[in-house]
Amino acid sequence: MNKPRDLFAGTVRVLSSYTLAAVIFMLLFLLTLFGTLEQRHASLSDVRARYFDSPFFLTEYGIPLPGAYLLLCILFVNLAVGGMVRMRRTWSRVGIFAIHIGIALLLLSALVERFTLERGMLHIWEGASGDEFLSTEDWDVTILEQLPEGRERVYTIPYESLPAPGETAVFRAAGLPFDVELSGFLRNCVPRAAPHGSDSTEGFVFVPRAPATREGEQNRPGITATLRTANLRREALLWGVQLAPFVTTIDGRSWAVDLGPRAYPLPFTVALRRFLHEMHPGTNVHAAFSSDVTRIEDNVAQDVHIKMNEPMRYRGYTFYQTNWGPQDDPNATKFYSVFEVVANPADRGPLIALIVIAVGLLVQMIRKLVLYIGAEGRRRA
Amino acid sequence: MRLFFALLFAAATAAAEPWDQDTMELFARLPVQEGGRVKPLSTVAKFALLRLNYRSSFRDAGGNQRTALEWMLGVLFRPDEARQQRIFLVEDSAALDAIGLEHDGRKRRDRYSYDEIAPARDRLVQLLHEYERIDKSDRNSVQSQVIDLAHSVNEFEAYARFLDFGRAGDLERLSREKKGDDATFRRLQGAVALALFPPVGDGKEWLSPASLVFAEDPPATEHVTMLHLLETLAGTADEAEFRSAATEFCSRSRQLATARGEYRKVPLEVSYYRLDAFYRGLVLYILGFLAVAASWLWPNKWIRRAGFALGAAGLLFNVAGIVLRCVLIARPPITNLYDTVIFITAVGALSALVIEIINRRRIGLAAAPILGALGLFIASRYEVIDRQDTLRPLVAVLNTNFWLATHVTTINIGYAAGLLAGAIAHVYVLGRVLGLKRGDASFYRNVARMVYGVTCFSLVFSVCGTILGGVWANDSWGRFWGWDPKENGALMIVLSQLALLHGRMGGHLRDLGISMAAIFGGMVVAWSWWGVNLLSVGLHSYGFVGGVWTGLLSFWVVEALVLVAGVVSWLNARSPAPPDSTDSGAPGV
Repeated sequence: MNKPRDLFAGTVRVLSSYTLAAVIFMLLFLLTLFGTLEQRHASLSDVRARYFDSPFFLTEYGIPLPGAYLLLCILFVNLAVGGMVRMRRTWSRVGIFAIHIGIALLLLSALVERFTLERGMLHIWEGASGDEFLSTEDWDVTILEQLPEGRERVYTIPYESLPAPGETAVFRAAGLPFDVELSGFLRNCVPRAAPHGSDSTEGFVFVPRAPATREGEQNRPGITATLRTANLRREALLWGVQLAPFVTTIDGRSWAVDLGPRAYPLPFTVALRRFLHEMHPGTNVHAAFSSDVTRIEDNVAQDVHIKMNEPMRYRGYTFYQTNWGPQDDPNATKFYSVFEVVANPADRGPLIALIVIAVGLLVQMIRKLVLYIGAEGRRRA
Repeated sequence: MRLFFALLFAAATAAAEPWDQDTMELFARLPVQEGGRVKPLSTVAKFALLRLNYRSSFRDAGGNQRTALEWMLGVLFRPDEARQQRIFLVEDSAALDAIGLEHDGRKRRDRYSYDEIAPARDRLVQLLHEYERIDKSDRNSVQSQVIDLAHSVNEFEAYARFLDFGRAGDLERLSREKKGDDATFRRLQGAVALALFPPVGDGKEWLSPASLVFAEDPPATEHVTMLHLLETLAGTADEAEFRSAATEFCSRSRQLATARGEYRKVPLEVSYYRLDAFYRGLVLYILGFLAVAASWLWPNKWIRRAGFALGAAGLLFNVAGIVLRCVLIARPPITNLYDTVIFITAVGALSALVIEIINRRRIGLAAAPILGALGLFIASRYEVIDRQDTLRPLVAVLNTNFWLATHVTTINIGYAAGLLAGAIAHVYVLGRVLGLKRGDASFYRNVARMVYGVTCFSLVFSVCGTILGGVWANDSWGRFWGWDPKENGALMIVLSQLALLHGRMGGHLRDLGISMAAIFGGMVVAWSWWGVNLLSVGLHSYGFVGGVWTGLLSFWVVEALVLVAGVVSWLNARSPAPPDSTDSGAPGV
């Protein structure tokens, strides 16, 4: 008769338990430890993908662990259910309550970031401007048709839809007079002349390279695209950093096929007036680098100074001073600046969470300290 | 033969001739630009000698202890004598075998003079080029030592050659002729080791005699005068003339630096190194611990008070050293790994003394000098391993006093408290294992409360520090969390402490369990503080130092043994009705 209620109560008890929280923290600890060790010989993005996205996975030492997102979701439930069921609502617990609210905010920020983040780079030379930034991780295949009067029609196959290495995928779309077959995807590669007699595309093949392992390094992906109709077949190697797209004519219509970083348009333009860098005297150590830019929107110009630790935040986009060049030319008179551009609605979430958590921790610590000092004083008296 | 020994004796006596105090004072405060900042020559000398000798002092041929500045003046002005001083430390004579140098009758680890190494110099340079092509992580110990020795020899030669232009004779033409004069340039081109000339214009970079030729065309009158003074200093054998030229040179240099606002902190830096606050602090901490240990044997409140006073005095020197460093570099207390050591030591010792003031249980009283002495000992070892000026300018991303003062300071307070909790937890675990204070359950209960309290204190700062680090990363690199090993290390401290607290609240950890978890927490702090730097991965490149792996591993092994002993103690306590158990019958540890 009471079984459903008992089951519900039991589930709530488990989900809200300190034991579950302690187990999650220990598992997250192990996950962080192995994830750190694995970075010695695997790329950060690979480690992150395996440790976060998979519900369960094996570490390089063969230890099975649940993925981080799964654990964080359970932690969030534990926090919410525990807060509702277990926590005593008294003034003495206000610090603890604030800490848990702060942690929940932190987890929510991470969740929002996970599903909404846009991130990329914007390179601008002094005197030039830019109004879009390019992803460093997502590479899309674009098929562009040249229409009369200089117009264009663009079809995009997003990075998420590209076939995994070793697989083949075929794409069709209304308006496309051919099928697009994509195969042989490599995350990091370089084109080379094919050995005599081997399978190749117009005498070239992609040679795989180890994926980038360090932050700031970039992969150069490659994929083979085959455009097929009933009676013809055109094959091309598309390399992520090639200067020109593959161009062909099918049924009297001109097509350009390209593999390139995903472009995110900006609702304003950023022009680089001047790049400044300063070295510590007598050393090769950079003391500071910064950019004087002009932000232009609706014909209104605004001058902004962007430097390390002081990004430009505007309309949901944040511009970070990341790099500059040319660094290998000591006589350079003209420089370019590289900005990392991030659109993250939860950008300020961690800061707000920090404030809430810090207040909670301080309240709790001071309360406990006062109680302890009082007890010790009474004991000595 | 007698004549030979007489000459040898005469040479040794000459080598032992000390520099007079006034000359030493003059040169100690001579401003030099090196490593991106203006510092006294005495600081340059200290770290240069440390790189060669692994000590910041040396013994001359007569066995007298000499300062680094005396060595530097010797190399600059009496290079023939300096070449006979045994200041090149060779850790393993296998390195000498590699370069084909005889070392019969010498110890495996010994010091050699430049003249002793000189016959193998060509082979040394040849091997340097060969070994430098090998990836750093793939080099064996001998290859690393050969590279190290070659760099030391190079550095010595750079200083010894510095004033060769002055010893060669007249520089008159320099003021008249331009840089097209090859003869002048050739004479000056070896003089690169010290940037002694403050620029007369707006430039930031100080000039060495060699760079002067390129930077100024023709050289500024003031600089030509200073070059002539250097020439006199290098060439004269007359003591009075030397003193007069030295006074004039140092005075002109000081005036130029003062006019640029770059001399102000030079005398303070000289005083900072003379005070040697961390060494004095170390001695006081050790004396404090001895007094506390004596009070265990002979319980007496005056001995205990002496222990407290000595520990507090050690802390005072520790803090004074940190404050002086902050003033010198105009930065918050922590800008590099060395700073973390002295800061964490001070916070650990201070926290322990505060605990003692609050509860008078004599545990904080013992923990303060132990942590203090251990920390400052590590700091002194670090200086020898790193052998670089520890007051360094910062790379662009760290060039922010706000984040250094908030995130870096906070996270290191968290480290300090985590280590202190681990240290106090040893009292509980080892006390139980060794059967100390058998039957005094309240003693153990109070130790566990202390461990728990300090862990909570550590958690406050670890959590705030970790999130602050994320907020800083978000402002610098555009992401809150990048899974950088250093970030992960801080997170691991937080996670281990959260597991401890929730394990306690869930009833799984009791007093012994909390103490063992705190010891484990100390191991995690050591991993985050030092261990992640050894992975050679990530963006926190300011903290990479070789040679700490053995120490770290030893620490973990010892702590693991303590934990095993704790587990054995727990298993024993689970046996029926142990009379001294504080946890008997409880489900948790």
